[in-house]
Amino acid sequence: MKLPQCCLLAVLLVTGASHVLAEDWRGSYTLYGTSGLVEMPSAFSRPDGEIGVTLGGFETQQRASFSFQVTPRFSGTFRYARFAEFTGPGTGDTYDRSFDLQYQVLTEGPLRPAVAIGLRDFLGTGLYTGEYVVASKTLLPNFRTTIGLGWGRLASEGGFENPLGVLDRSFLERPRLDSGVGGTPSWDQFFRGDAAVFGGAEWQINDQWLATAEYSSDSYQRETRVGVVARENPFNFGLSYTPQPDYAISAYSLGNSDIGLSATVILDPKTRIAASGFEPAPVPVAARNGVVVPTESTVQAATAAALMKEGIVLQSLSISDSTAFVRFANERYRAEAQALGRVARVLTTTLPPEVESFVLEPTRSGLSLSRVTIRRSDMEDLENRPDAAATGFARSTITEAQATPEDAGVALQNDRFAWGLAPYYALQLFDGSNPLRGEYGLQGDIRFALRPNLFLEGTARYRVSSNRSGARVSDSVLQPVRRNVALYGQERDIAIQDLALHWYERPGQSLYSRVSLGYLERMFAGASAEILWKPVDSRLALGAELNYVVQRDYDLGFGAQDFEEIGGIYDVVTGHGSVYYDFANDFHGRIDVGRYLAGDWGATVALDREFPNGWRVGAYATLTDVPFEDFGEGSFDKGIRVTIPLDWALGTATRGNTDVRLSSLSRDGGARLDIDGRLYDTVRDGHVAALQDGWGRFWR
Amino acid sequence: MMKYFTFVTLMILGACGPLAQSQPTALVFDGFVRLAGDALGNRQDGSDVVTREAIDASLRPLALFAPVNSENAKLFAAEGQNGTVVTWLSEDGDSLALRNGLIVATRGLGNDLMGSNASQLYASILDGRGQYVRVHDYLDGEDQIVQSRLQCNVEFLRDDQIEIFGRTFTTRLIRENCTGANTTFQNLYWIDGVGLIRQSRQWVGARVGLVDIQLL
Repeated sequence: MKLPQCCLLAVLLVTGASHVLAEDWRGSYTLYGTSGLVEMPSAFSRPDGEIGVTLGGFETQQRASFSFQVTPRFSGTFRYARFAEFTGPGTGDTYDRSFDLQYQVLTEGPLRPAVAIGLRDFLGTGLYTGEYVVASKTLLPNFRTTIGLGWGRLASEGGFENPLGVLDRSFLERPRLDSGVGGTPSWDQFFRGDAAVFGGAEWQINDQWLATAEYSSDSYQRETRVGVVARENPFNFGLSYTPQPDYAISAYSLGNSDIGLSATVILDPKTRIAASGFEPAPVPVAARNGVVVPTESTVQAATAAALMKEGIVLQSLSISDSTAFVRFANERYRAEAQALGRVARVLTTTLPPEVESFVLEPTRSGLSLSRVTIRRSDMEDLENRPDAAATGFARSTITEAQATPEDAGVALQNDRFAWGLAPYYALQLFDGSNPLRGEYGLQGDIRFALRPNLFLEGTARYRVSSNRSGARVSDSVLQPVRRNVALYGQERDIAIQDLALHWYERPGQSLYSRVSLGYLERMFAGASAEILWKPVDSRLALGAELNYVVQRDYDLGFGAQDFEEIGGIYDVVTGHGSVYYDFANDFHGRIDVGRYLAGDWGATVALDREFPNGWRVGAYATLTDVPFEDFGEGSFDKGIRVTIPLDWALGTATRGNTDVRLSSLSRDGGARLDIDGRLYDTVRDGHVAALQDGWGRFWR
Repeated sequence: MMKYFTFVTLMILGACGPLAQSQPTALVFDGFVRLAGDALGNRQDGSDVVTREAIDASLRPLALFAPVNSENAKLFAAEGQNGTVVTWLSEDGDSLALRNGLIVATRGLGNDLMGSNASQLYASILDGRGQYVRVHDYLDGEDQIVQSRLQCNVEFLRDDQIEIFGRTFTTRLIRENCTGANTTFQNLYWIDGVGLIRQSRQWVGARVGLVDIQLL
C-alpha cells in the first residue's frame, strides 16, 4: 500500500500538534449538512443537542439536510437531495433521501486528535453511500486540520487497495449495491473496496469568518460519466460567514469548476433568548396576618376568579381542618410545575389563615394526574430566596392522585362549550416527487364537555389554497391504509378532520383508561379503547390499546369509502401492547407490539431525546410481517420526529407545540391510527419525572 | 377569489375563540401584532405621565423602573408584602420584589432574577462597609435553575442631595462592587435617613443588565 507524499506531511502535522483544544470554534456545516469541511467530514462534533438545517448545493445538485447532535459524540443527519439532469444533460431530475451517522470515538486531547467513524447514506438507494474514519486536530487557536480515510463514494478519487484487506480478503472487493427497494442498511458494503485519503484545514479568520480548504476523495464518478459534472481537480475551498450563532452563509469553489452556496440555520434547544419568558408575573405570596375568615363559598369564588386570570381552571376546592384540597386544569403553562406554583401562590391569598397544607391535584382531560402536597409555611419562607425551587421540591411530597376522591368537595360548574377559529397550514415535505406540498385555510374547533372527563371534540377545515392534486398513489398488494392519503380531501374544500366522543377514567391506583368513539382521525372512524399503567414516580409504564376502525370516505364527510377491490368498506381491528421507559439521561424509549392498520403484525421501536424544556428529537422504525418488496420504496416505515415547544420559540406562556415529522413516504405497512389524546402523553406531564424537570419554573 | 378574501380577512382578525388560542398560527400572529404595536410606539413611556400631584394622589407607593440600555421607563405600584420584601407590580404584569428599594427578584423581564439573598445583605449595604457573597438564581434555556455567586464589597462614596419629581432627599451614596465567574458590575444606591434606597442603579442579570429605580 502506498500513501501519497502529501498525506505523510499531513500525518506529521496532526501528530506534532500543540496543546490547543477546539472550544470556541463555531466550525461549519458541509454542503452535505454534516459537521465538517466543504464536502468531507471532520471528527469534531457540534455542541450537544444542536440542530443544523442546511440548504446548499451547486449547479446540478442541491441538498436540504437536517442534522442533530444526539449526544456529545453521536450525530445523525437526514438529507433530501435533488440530482438535476440525473442521467445526462437534458434529462429529468431525481430526488433522493439519505441518512448519515457519525460517532466520535476519541475526543480531542492536548496531544490526541479527535477521531470519528461515520456512515454516509447507509440506508436508502445509495447515491451517496460511503464510510469513513477521520481524525482532526486543533493546531493553533484559530487553525485546525483534518485527515481521513474513506470508502465507497469517498474513495472514488485516488483510491488504493483497502488497508483492511490485511484483516480479511473479503474487504478488498466492494459488492455492487443491491438496494432492492432501498431503505435497509447496506451491511455487505461497509468499509469494503478501495480506500482513499481525504483531508483539509480550517482557518478561523475572526469571530464571523471561517475559511476552509480540502482535498476531496469524492470524484463525482457517476456524474462525470453522464456528463453533468466536470471537476478539474480534487481541491475545494470555502468561506463561511456566521454573524450570529444561529445562522451561517457559505460560498464554495468546488474542483475549480463549480460554485457552491449554502445557508445553515442552527437551533440549540438548550438555549433560549428569554429563558424565564415574558409571561406576566405570578401573584405575590401573601403572608398570614390575622385576616377575617371568609365563608367557603366566597373562598371558592375568589380562588376560581384568581386562577382564571392565570389561565387555570379550578375544578374543585374543599377545606377540611387545616388542609385544602384543590383540583385544577392548567391550560396555559407547558410545565405543570409552573401551574402548581401559581395555584399555590393564589391559595396563600384566598384561603383562611388556619389552612396550612395545600393538596394540589393537576388534571388533564378530567383525570387527576398526581397529588402534590405543599406547606403554606414553605411558600411564605422560600419566596424569592436562592434555591427556592430545589428546596421547595424537596419539602413537597408527590403521590398518586386518589382514584375516587372522598374529598371531592363541590365540583364547580365550568364552561361546557368551547370553540375556536384560526388559520391553519399543513406542509408535506419531501414527498417522492415534490420537495414541498402545502395547503392552508381555516380551521374550526369545537369542544363540548358533558363532564371534565367526558367530552366531544371536533375539528373541521376549510381549504383556501388550491388542492394538492397530482400526488402519486403507487401500486401495492396491501390495502391502501396510508398510501392513498393524498386522495383524501382532494375534491371538496370542506373536510371533517375529526369528531369524536372521548371518555377518560381512572379504573384504579396508577391506572388510566380512555375510550374514544367517532371520527377518530382523517382517514379512519370507529372505536378506540386504551388502558395505561403508570405509577406517578415510575420510569416504566405499560399500556394496551384496541381499536376497531373503518376507512373513511375520500371526501372527508360522514361516510365510509367503498373499495371495489375488496367489494365494500374496509374495516380492521388493530391493537398494541406498549412499553415506555424514561431513561435518566434525557432519553426515552418506547416499544409497541401488535397489529397495524393493514392487518400486519409487527413492532415499532422509538428512541427520543427529550429536553427538559419540551424539545424532543427522536427516531423510530417499524418492522412488520409485510415483506420489503410489498412495502415498496423504503422497505419499512421509519422516520425522525421533532417537537418544538412554542413557548420556547415565542417567549409567551403556551402549551402549544409544533411537530415536524420526516419519514418515509406514506406507506401501508406499519401504519398506526393517528389519535390525539392518547393516555401516555396526556398523563406524563403531571408525574414526578416531568414535574422535576420543570420545577425550576415553580416560582415563575 | 372569494376564498382568498375570506382567508385574508381571517388572517387580519387573527384567531377567534378560546380553542384557537394555542394554534401555532394564532400565537405567531399575536406575536407579530405585539411587535408591530411596540414598533409603532404604542407603549407610553412611564415617566411622561408622572407628576408630583399624581404621585401624591396615588393610593399605593409608586416606583419608576428603567433599564439602562432601553429608552422606556415603567411605573410600578406596591402590591403585596411577605416579611421585609414588598412585591411591586407594573401595568403590563411585570413584578419587582424589593426590600426598601433593593432588588431581590424580578418577574416578566424575560431573563428574570428568580431569587437572591439580597434581602439578607440589606444591612451590610445600608452600613456601607463589608464584604460578602451575593447569590443569584436564574433560569437557563432548559428550565433549570443556575446559581451565580459573586464576591462583593461595599463602600461609602459621599453624601448626595437628590431630587425626585419635585421632592429633595438627603442621601448617602453607597457603591457595591461585585465580581463573579463571568460577570462584574457596580451598583449604586442613594439611601435616605430612614434606610430607604430612594434611587439606585442595580444589576439584574445578563441580557437585562443594569436598571435604574426611583422610589417616588
